[in-house]
Amino acid sequence: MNILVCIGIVPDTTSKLVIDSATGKIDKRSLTMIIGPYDDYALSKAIEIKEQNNATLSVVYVGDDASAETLLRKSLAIGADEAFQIKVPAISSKQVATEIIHFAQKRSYDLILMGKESIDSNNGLVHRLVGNGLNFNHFSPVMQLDVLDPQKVKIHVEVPDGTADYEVFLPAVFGCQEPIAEWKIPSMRGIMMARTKPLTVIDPLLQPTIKQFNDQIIEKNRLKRVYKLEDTKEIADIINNLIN
Amino acid sequence: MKKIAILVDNKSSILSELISNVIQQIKSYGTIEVYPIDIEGSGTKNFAENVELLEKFNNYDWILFENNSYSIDLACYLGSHLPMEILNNVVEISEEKVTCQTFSGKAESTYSSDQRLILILSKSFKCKELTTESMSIPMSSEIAIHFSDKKGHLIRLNKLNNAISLPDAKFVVGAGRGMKDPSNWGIIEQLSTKIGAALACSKPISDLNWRPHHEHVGQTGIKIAPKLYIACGISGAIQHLAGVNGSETIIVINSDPEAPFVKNADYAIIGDLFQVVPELLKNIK
Repeated sequence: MNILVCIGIVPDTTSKLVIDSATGKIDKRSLTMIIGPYDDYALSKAIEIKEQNNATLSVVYVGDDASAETLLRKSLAIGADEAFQIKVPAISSKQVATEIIHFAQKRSYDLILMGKESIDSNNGLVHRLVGNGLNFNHFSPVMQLDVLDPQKVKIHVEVPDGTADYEVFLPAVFGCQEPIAEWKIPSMRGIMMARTKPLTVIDPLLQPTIKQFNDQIIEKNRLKRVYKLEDTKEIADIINNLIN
Repeated sequence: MKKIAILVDNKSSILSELISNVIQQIKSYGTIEVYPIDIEGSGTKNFAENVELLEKFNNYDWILFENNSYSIDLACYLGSHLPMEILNNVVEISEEKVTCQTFSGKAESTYSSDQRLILILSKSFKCKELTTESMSIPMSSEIAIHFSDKKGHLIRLNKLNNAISLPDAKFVVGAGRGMKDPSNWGIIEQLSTKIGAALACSKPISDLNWRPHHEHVGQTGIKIAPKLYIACGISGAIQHLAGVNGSETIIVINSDPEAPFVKNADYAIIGDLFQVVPELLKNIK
């Protein structure tokens, strides 16, 4: 079984966002960058599947973030076999998906996992577009994943009116969310081994075409009033106004 | 002048408040056609060849969708086959630019609207005041989508029992570690029933298995954007805030005035939730 995990690189949740006045966009140089938290769940699950099923596991990142090499080495340290960076400014979901589709078509993957969305754009589009482009079965957000046999997996997935269990034939692409697996921390041995695992930088198929202007930071000063316990009735009135 | 198509669920006979608002805002930019379409099918089945559908929608500058998981599937299908970019979480549309919410509401990105775009509207779309003028947009006739097979074999569907779906809820009541014990959730359930709200919880609560994972709201759980969110005994870790930023009004009940959530709420009440919630139950009509 061949597994591909697609990762994004995003600012840590606790980062304070700042606009770079030169570009009008969010200044990534001042931020701590991490593997997308949902992508990290997907990667952790893929490592579990690899260990139980003797599968091979590749990781691909589309983008040009300065921390790409460090974070791809981290994914190798926690258990991936090889890593790829398709080096191009990643602007739109469609552009990223096009690169992944092109990359995956040249290889043969049975299962492609990634996070249900990135925590910067919150788009959740790439896994859908990759599913369409490769003609794979697609589900998201997948919360449990068990390999039944080399052709078939069982998943637990959120659907609009609750949750559902499906048996899905491979090849498939899933957007993942917790509690699909626990995040993994690299061991010392893993870090040493990662140094000799292959990390390949690939040229992109295309350059981004979407016209983006700029970013803004939204500061919401919500707080209107703090009440004491004895003012509970006033809060009840506010609630009554909002719900009726 | 732009050619604009809006694709809506064929199961609902009236336009949603959001779509009506959007039409009012963008109608001067060009011609708008509203198509009912089998959105649910797009979420559960694989697409077959759809030459007619793709030809039809290849004529538009913008194609708009409301945001739900099935409509995003259809938007992506069109986006995969048409020479159009896709933008999600759209909160504002003007003749020059489209604005999308990013970082769970902490930032926004703007794009040129002078390109062919599939736009998925955010639940936090900045609606303007509706004019009293009646909507004069007739529905175009439904366009059929052809499907091939089901995406997978359904083994079990666990429907939320008469509970309100969290991502779409207008009102949400959430609770956190301040509840002290899972057996104390009775008052939270009563409050949610009284308001007609969906139930939510913070990550530690679902990690402890006090509440099911599908109630977990936050960075790695579900994101909500209700009209009203009442958070009881949730301190407001940044990961939780990331999931609730889109709420219109946030009311926080917490005994700790220093809890981060107090600063990030519209209204906070400092007090023991086991006293505050029963008092609210008495006074909410």
